[in-house]
Amino acid sequence: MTYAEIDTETEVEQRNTLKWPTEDCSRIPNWVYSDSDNYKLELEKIFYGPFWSFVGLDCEVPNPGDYKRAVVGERSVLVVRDKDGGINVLLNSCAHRSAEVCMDNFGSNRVLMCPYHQWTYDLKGKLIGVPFRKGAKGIGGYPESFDMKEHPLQALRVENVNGAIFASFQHDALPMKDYLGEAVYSKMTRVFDGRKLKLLGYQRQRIRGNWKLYPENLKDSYHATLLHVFLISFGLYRMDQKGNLFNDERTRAHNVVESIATARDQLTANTEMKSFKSNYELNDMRPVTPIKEFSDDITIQNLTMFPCLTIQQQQNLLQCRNVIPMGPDEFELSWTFFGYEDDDEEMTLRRTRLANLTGSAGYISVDDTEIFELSSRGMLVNPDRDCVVELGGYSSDTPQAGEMVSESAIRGFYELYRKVMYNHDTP
Amino acid sequence: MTEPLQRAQELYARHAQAICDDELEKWPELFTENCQYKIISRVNYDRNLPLSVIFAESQGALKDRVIAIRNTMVYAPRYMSHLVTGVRIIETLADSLKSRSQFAIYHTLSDGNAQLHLIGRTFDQIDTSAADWKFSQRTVVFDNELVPGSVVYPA
Repeated sequence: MTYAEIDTETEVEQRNTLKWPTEDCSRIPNWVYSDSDNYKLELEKIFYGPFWSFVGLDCEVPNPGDYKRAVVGERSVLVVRDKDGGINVLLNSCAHRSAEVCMDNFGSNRVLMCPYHQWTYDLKGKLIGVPFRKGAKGIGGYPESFDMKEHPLQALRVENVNGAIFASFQHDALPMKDYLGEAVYSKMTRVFDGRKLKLLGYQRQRIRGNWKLYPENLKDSYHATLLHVFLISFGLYRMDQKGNLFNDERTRAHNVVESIATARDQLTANTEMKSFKSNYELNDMRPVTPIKEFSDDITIQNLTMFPCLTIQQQQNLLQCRNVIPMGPDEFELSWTFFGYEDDDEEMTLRRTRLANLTGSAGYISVDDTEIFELSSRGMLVNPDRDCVVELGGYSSDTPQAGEMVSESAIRGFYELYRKVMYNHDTP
Repeated sequence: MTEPLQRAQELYARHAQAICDDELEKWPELFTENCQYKIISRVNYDRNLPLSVIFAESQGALKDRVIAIRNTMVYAPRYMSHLVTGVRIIETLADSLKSRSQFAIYHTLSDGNAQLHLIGRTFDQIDTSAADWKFSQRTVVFDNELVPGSVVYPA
């Protein structure tokens, strides 16, 4: 670590600790969404710290030699299937002159070769070839002491949760089950249940706002009843739907919001639908006509994993929504839509139809992405003001059963965030 | 008798103008009742992945989209500008023809700066059986996978 880094860190730490308005997390200062020094600290402490980032599904790289590019923090990484069938996540930066080794977003090869000076790595990142090692025409070359073993592509720690691939720059990151806690992990494995996955496609959006706005939005579930007029206007959502909301015991920064439909709530084009007091009726019901798929009655499950992955099941629509920071006031929202390998054509079509609700043109999701830019504009120019996050109290305790109107999950996020960012002890 | 290419170009122009003039209610009328309409990224299209940004299987679904844009979706106001070029007839069938086009779509938000929204190609089919030609299929394939903000209006 350089002196400059220490200085910046200490300075940011002191300034931010002083400026955080309350001991609890019922207030969030606006500068936390825009300050560039704070953002640099987030990259180091969170994105390159002992936390997990989503990098893709294992069905995206089915065969040995298959690779895809992904991003952890701001760093490009390669998700590579090796000859043994294992998945490696390697820093996409050559050990020689740091150039990105792979330019294609997807590819397949026996080795990974940097195009600049052809340093060549095997599929686990080991350096296996260096041109002119003995020089040219018997003259020059690398010194005797040059050791190929010292120059691999940096390998990240990897965990594969039934087909969902996670990576961390820190090899002491907790195993995913301990990281999320039993309760949240069991909801992740409700979706990633061991069946082979089938990729349905991607969507990517560039949002002008701070990356934290995204996980916060999913942690605050009650905005749905206020902001997302589509479902209510078309009579597709009942306000009295039962729900459940909980935070993980250890950190409070991973959360699950689930909505449990009764038989009457099933979204079908039946006559009962017309009895709902709604303004409009859909001409084509196919985008909102799911079938029961899971053994329980949970119709919507939003799982947010610290720092910024959301896994959503909305009826038969399954997606990972990954947030990739691009500076303090911009982020990429990267969607990976999937089903299961044993889906028939009808199920794939059903999932594709339901996708009209989400993504960059989603009947529901457009509202959110537009709001982030609105929030961001208000925050950027008012860094000395605070956000009020007091609904449901001051703590990050899981609300009592059935209490869906709460901001406790956002407070939970910031309890861990402040510990990681401004305290020296690792959580 | 107008040439088929001219009639096709007229349909493409009317499509663009319904959106750019903010006369969205006219937009579904340019499609047949059983039309298929989708906006899909090039990366999904090239890899045969079905996931689309918008996927509609009837004129009714397009009308639903207009109702939502007008009444339920929350978004910052914007002007849309569609530049359509390279309209070409690929194949002439008995009651229809296959056509394609190149496009660039810009949006202008209230800050006044026009920004590239979507750019790419469309692969279409036009029903030529009735007096009014209509799209029976329109597939909008865009190259700029990382879409700025959201896709509110049709493309």
